[in-house]
Formats: sequence, C-alpha cells, structure tokens
Amino acid sequence: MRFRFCGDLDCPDWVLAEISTLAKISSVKMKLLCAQVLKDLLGEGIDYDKVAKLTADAKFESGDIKASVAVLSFILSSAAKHDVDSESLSSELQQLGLPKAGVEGKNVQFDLEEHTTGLCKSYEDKHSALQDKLRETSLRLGQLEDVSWRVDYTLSSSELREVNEPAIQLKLQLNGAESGASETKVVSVSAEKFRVLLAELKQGQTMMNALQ
Amino acid sequence: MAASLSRLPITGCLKLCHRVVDGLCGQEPPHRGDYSATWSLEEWMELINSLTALFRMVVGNNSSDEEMLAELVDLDSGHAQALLSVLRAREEEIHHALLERTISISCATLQDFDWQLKLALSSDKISSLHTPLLSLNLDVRENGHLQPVTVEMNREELNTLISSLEAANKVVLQLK
Amino acid sequence: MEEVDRILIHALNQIGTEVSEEIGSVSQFSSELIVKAVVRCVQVIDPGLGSALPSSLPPGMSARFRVGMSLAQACQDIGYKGEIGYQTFLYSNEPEIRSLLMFLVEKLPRESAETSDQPTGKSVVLQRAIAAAIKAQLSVPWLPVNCRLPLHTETQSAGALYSFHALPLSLSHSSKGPNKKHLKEVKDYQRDFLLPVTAQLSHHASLAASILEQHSTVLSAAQEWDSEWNNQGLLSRLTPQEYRSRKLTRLRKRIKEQLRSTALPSPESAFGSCHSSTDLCELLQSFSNSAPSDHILTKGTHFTHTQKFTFEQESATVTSSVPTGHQSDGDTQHRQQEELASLQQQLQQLCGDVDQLTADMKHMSVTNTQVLNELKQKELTNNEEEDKIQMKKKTLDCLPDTDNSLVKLQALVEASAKRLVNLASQWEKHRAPLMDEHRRLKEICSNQDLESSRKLSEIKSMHEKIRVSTEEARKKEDMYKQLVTELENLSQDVSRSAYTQRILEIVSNIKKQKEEITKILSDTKDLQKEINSLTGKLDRTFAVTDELVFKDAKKDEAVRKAYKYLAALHDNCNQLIQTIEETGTILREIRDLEEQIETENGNKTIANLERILEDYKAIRQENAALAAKVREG
Repeated sequence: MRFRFCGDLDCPDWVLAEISTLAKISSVKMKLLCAQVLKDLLGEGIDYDKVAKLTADAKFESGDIKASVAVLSFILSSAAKHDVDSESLSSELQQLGLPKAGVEGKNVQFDLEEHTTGLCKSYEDKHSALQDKLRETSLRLGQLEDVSWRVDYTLSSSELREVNEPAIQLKLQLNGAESGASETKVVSVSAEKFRVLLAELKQGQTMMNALQ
Repeated sequence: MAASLSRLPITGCLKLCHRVVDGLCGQEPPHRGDYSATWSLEEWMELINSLTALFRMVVGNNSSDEEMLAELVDLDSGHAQALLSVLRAREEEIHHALLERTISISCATLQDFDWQLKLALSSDKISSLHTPLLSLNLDVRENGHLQPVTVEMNREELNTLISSLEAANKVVLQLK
Repeated sequence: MEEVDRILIHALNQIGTEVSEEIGSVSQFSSELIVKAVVRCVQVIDPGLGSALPSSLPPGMSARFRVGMSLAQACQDIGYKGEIGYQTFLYSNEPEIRSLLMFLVEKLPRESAETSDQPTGKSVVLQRAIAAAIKAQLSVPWLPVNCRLPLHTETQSAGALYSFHALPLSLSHSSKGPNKKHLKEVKDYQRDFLLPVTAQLSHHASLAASILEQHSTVLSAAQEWDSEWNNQGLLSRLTPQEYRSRKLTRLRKRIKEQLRSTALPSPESAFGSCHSSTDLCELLQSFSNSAPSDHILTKGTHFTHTQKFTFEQESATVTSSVPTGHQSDGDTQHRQQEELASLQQQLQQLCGDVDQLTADMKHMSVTNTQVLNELKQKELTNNEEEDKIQMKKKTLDCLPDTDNSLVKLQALVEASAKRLVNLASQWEKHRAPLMDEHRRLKEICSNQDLESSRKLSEIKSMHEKIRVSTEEARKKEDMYKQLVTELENLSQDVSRSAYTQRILEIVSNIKKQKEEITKILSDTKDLQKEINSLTGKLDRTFAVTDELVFKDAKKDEAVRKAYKYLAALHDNCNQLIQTIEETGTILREIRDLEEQIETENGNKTIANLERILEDYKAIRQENAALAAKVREG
C-alpha cells in the first residue's frame, strides 16, 4: 500500500500500530488532542497537562500518550508536507484504521470515521498555517536580518592628498548558516563597487520577480 | 636609483616603468628574470621600490611636472622625460589604484562579490517549496586576509537590502 | 482511404521511419517498409519490447520468418486484437496492414500533443524544464574521475571552482576624463606598451570576472549619469561639464561650511586656526599637518607657529645648559653625578617652566587675538567719533559770521541744486536710451528663456519618447522571439489542423451521404407503399371481376371461357411477379459474390501462394545447403 500523506510510500509500522491506540479515545477528545498537537507544530507549545487530562478517561499510560502525540504529529506534519487535501487524508486514514475496526465490530468503525473527520477538520483548518510554518522552518543558509549604512566622504588620505570620494559603510546583521547565531559584519565599500553591487542586486531582483 | 635606471636604453626604461605601474595598479608586475643581467637582486628591489614610491608620491600629491623633475635631478634628462611621459600616460590608473588603497585603509573592505539566484524546490519540511532565494557572497578583506560572507535572502530580505542600498546611493549621488 | 494513408504515412515519418515521397498509400508499402515501420512504432511505444527487434528484414528466408513471428508477437503484446502472424508482414494484404498501422499509430505516445495542449504558464514551463534537466542529469551514469568527459564535468566533478575575483584592467577606453593635454603620451602608451587584455593579469581565472566587472562598472556609471542628467542636469540649462563643476563647487562649499561649523565651538583646539582660512585646500592642509609628505605647508597657521616657537625655545635652553657641562670637565665623577642630578632637576624645572610657558603662551595668544579684535572695534568706533567731531568743528567755525556764511551757504545750496538739476537732466538723457536698451535686452532674454524652456521640454519629451520607444522595441523583439518559437512549435501541428479540417469535411460528406441514403430509403418506402396499394387494388379488382364474371359464367359459355382466361391470366401474372422478384434476389447475390471475388482478388491469394511456394523452395534450399554444410563439416 502506498499513501499520499506518506509521500507515496508505505505507512511506517509504528504509525500503523499506534493508530489503534488513537481509536481508543473518543472522537471529541481526539479533536481536542489534535488541536494541542497542531499548536505544538505551529510553535505555540503544547500543554501536556491538558493532554493528560484529555486522555485520562481512555486510561492511557504515559507511553500511550506519547505515542498518540507522536503519531498525530507525524500524520499532520507529513500530510501538510505532501500537500494532501483533507478528504484524501480522511480516506487514507480510514484505510489504515479499518482492519482494526473490523475486529472490534461495527461500532468502532463508525467511531473511527468520526475520528478521522475530527482529525481532518482540524487539519483542514490549519492546513495553510501549517504549510507556512513548514516553509518558514525549511533549511536556509544564512538570513539577512538588518542592514544599516553610512556614507562617508573622504577628503584626504595618506595615499592621496585629495581624494574627495564618497565611501559607504555597510553593516549587515546576518543569521549565520552554520552557527545559527546572528553575527554582524561591517564592510566599507568604495562608491564604484557599491554602484555595481546595487546594479547587480537589482538585476537579481528582476530575475527573481520573473520567476513568479 | 637614478644611476641604475640609466643602465637601460630609453625604450627599455619606458617598458619597465609601465610594468612597474602595472604592478602598482594590481596587474602583473615586471619579472626580475628579464632584467637579471642589468641589476642585482638588491638593486632591483631598491629600484622597483623607489619607482613605485615615486609614482605614488607624485600622483598622491598631485605634483606638477617641475616638482617631479626636481625629484629626478640625478637622472639624465632623457630618462627623466621618459619617466614623466609614463607618469602622464598612466596618471589616471595610478590615481584609481591609490583610491583603492585609500578605501582599503578601513579595517574591513569589500573586495569582490558574487550572487546566485536559486529556486528551492523542495525541503525536508515541505515537499513543494518553490521559493526563490538569492545568495550573495561577499569577499571581505579583513586584516589582510579574505573572509567570505554568505547571505541567502528571500524576496523580502532582498527588497529590504536593495531599498536601503538605494537610499545610500541617493546620498552618494549627491556627493559626486 | 487515401486520407487515412496520408495520415499514417505522416505519423510514420514523424517517428523516424523514412517513407519515400512517391509512396502515397499503404498498398504501395513493400514488406521491408512495413517491417521497418512496425518495428519503429513498437520501439517508440515500448522501448523495452522494441529493442530486441531488428530494424530491417534479413535476407535469409527462415530468418525472415522468425522476424515476422516475433513482430506479430510484439504487436499482440502491445494489445493488437486483430488476426496477425508472420504472413501479415511477409505476404501483406492492404486492409490488414492498414488496420495494424492504424492501431500502432493510435498507440504512439502523444508527448508533443500533450505539451502543446497544456497551459503554458511561465512557472509550469520552468518546472518542466527543471524536471527535464534533473532527469537528464540523473540518467548520466557516475564515472570515476579519470574517465570523465568534458560533458560530465558540469554535473559531476567539483571541477575548478574559481571565486569571482576581479582585478583592475587597463583598457584604452576606460579613461573618462577629457585629458587632452596628455593625449600624446596616452596614445604612445596604448600603442607601444599596453598589453592585450588577456596578458594583463597574472591569473587567468580572474580574467572574465575582471572584464565583466569593468564593464558593469562603466555601464552602471553611464546609466546613473544618464538618469541624473535627464532628471536634473537638463533643467539646469548647463553643459554637462558646467553642471558637474557646479555640483562639485556646491558640494565643497557645503562640506567646508559643515567643517567650519563643527570647528567653531572649540576655538581653543588646534583647529581654531581655521577661522581665517578661506580655501578648502588650506583647510585640508591644516588637517594633514602631520602627514610626512606635506612640505608645501608654507603659509604657516597659528598652530604651527606656536609649535615652532616652543620648539625653538626648548632647544635654546638645552644649548645653553650644555656649556656648563663642558666647564666642569676635570672634576670627579661624584661631582659629575651631583651635577647631573642637579642638571636633571634643572631640566625638569625648565621643562615644567616651558610647559607652563607654552600654556601661558597659548592663553596669551588667545587673549591677544581677543584684544586685537577689541582694538579693531575700538579703532572703528574711534574713526566714527572723529568724523562726527570734525563735522561739529566746522559748524562751530561758521557760527561767528552768521549772515555772511548763511548767504554763502545759500548760494552754495542753490548752485548745488542747479548742478543737481543739470545732472538729473543729463542723467535722463543718458538714461532713456539705456533704459530702452535694457528693456529690449530684457525682452530678448525672456524670449530666449521661453525658447530654451520650450526646447527643454521638447528635449524631455524626446527623451521620454526614446525611452518608450526602446522599451517598445524590446517588447516587440521579445514578442517576435516568442512568436518565432511558437511558429516553430506550430509547424509540427500544421498537419494536425489539416487533419481536423479533413475530418470535418469527411463528417460533412458522411452527413450528405446519410441524407441521400435516407432519401433513397424513403423513396423505397414510397415505392413499397405504392406497390402494396397497387396489389391491394389489383386484389380487390380481381375479386370484384372474379365475382362478376363468375356470376355471368353460369349463364353464358363465352363468359365461362373468359373466366377461365381470367384465372389463367391472374396465375400467369402472379408467376411473372414472382420471377421478377427472384431475379432481383439473384442479381443481388451476384453482386455480393462479385464483391467477394474482388476482395479475394485484392488479397492477391494466387500471387501470395506463388510467393509462399517460392519462399518454401528457398527455405528448402537453405535447409539443403545447411545440411550439406553440416555433412561437409
């Protein structure tokens, strides 16, 4: 079996195993749990006490709680990663869950459908936000945080008695690729180089704009 | 210096001086091997250094022809005239080179830059990323050695960079 | 059929089978050509299947048979449902080949059609290009470093990675200033000593970078100047040189003023001396006081004066103290040391004194300038006061002889009044023409002003027009390029549009034919109806006649005979009709049979049989030869 939300690959075994754990909690609680996990994925932090409360009546042990959070994180982030719409996700999740339901009876199957709709509803709501977050956290080699500049006018120097040329001091605040920490670079640029730099960057900008 | 320069005929002297100016301007300097018969190593070094210093001094102080000739009193007039003509022909280039040197007095100067426009297609986080990124490499000469600075900018960051550079450029334009 | 054949031949040509132009229909295909076409089709449809097939018929008969068999198998694998075997290829018959080829052509992958159908958004095109490039790169196998061709270096080897490093170049056109004065020297240099640009740098890797950088430097400078000139320079109504120099002087003035304003609040500092400097150069000199190269500094600012002065004083004290050391030459070391100590003390004292004195000096000089300023002011007020006093003195002198002086004064006043009037008239005389002249000139000036502003606006509009036109030209060029590429893409599809046209024509033809058929059908129906009504009428008439005649037949013999004849006539007529109907069916049968014969004839059965016989003989011969070889071997 290949699943779209797994990137057209087979579903990992552990996810397959833990989906049955998910089926144990009620669909309402499932939805609330999804909301918590989504919060975590969006970087707003997860409230573990709340999670524990939500899963209390299903008599989850701490391992089960961890597993259910992990499996929900996987499903939601992986679906957002591969840009799966909520209907496909729903049908695929039902495919994954159905054999388990077959064993436990019709009641569970119905419940499972409720589960998937709850999950997919929360997923649908946060789909674009989730994708934005993922896009934002994708690998970047250095980021520009701030630019400051100063234009100096050199009157004279030891090399040349009358210079009378402007020079530009650039301060770039970079978010370094390797360290991740921000570093500051101060560079002085001659007027000529500066002009070329600006012209070239503008050229790059037009090319970039032409890409879309 | 003067005495040793007159060992060459005037045309040879012209050529040597032009190559010395080339070296001063960052191009290929003269090869000692071509002149090893004329000067010893010590003499050669002294000659090249003094010629370079002379050109720098004359252009740097914007001296007149007479002042330059006054520096060359111990040289015969033919060679002195040759030096003068070399200087006049290359004045602008030397001036430019001295400007560069003036800029490089700062503790960190931009020597070269290069850019590259990339289209990020996909990442481990999201399968279809499609974000254009412009990576800008700056070769910064800091305390005599080159240090690369790389920054990868997306559209917004590039726009901020360009707009602030534009603002600076406006000021620069007024100063020209 | 011709149309279908043309489409087939076109499709075959497109996938790379060379069908010569003389062949216009499938019936003209030779076995060789059929095999070639089918193999090519199979190769395009399924490269894995097609790779095992030979592209031409081998000479040997048994080999030909095998090729035919494998081809038939391949076609069946692709999904051909019709009857197919080796005979299809070797002993071709037209309809079979046509249906096979039609099937194959339909199965051909329609890449080109798909791409032209899809919306050609820019990003879609780009993505497809990226996908194609990545696919191509992935399909290139990895090779060890030593085996790499230049083709692979781009994607596989780290290669020679040079960073973009630009060095200055000496180019003949790079000099921008109008250095008319030294033109000869520059020319001599460029002619005799300037190296070609490729030899100027010590590392070749930087050459391209250097040239690019130089070019973009010059280009961006030109562009910047152009935009500035168009925006501001033109309005100033100056020549470019004038504009530049004016801008420069304005800039210098601004900088000077700024420097002065920052220097003013601290007159105690060394820069205080800048007050009197009127030239920026002078100002600069005062800045670069400490520069070693500066030996032209002769004017001597206040600061240097004080410095020199203090220095002289110091040296003087030193020289005065040295002789005392000489006098005590013959004394003992102890005394010398003592003396040294005392001298040092003295020196320190003196230094302290000097320091104090310098400070005093500074203070003094400042107060001095202040006092001087005050003095100047005092002198000015003094002069004014003196003038006043003199005026008063004169009036006082005049007081004793009042009347006389009054008369004198009146006369003087009158004379001066007259003179004034005289002068005024004279002035008027001079003034009038001058005023006229002035007015005239003013008018001319304003006219010129108007003219120039008109011209200026014209120039501006021209510039605008030039810009717009260049933009337009560029756009049109782009459009042209795009259209050309589109045209290139289209040329492949020309046949396609022709086909659709033909299809439409055929459809309309079919419609016409259908109409005709329905017309004929209705005609037949009408005829049938008529026939039916006629037979009915006949039956009825016959029945009536039969009845009438039968009634009369009982009475009259002749009528009985007539009745007999009638019956016979009726029978005969019925027979006749039957015969006619039978003839019709037979005729139809004959036509069917004729058609069948024709199709059988089309199959060239006899010829094919003959060929099969020949081929059979050939196989037997081959077998015999092989057997002989085996026996020999």
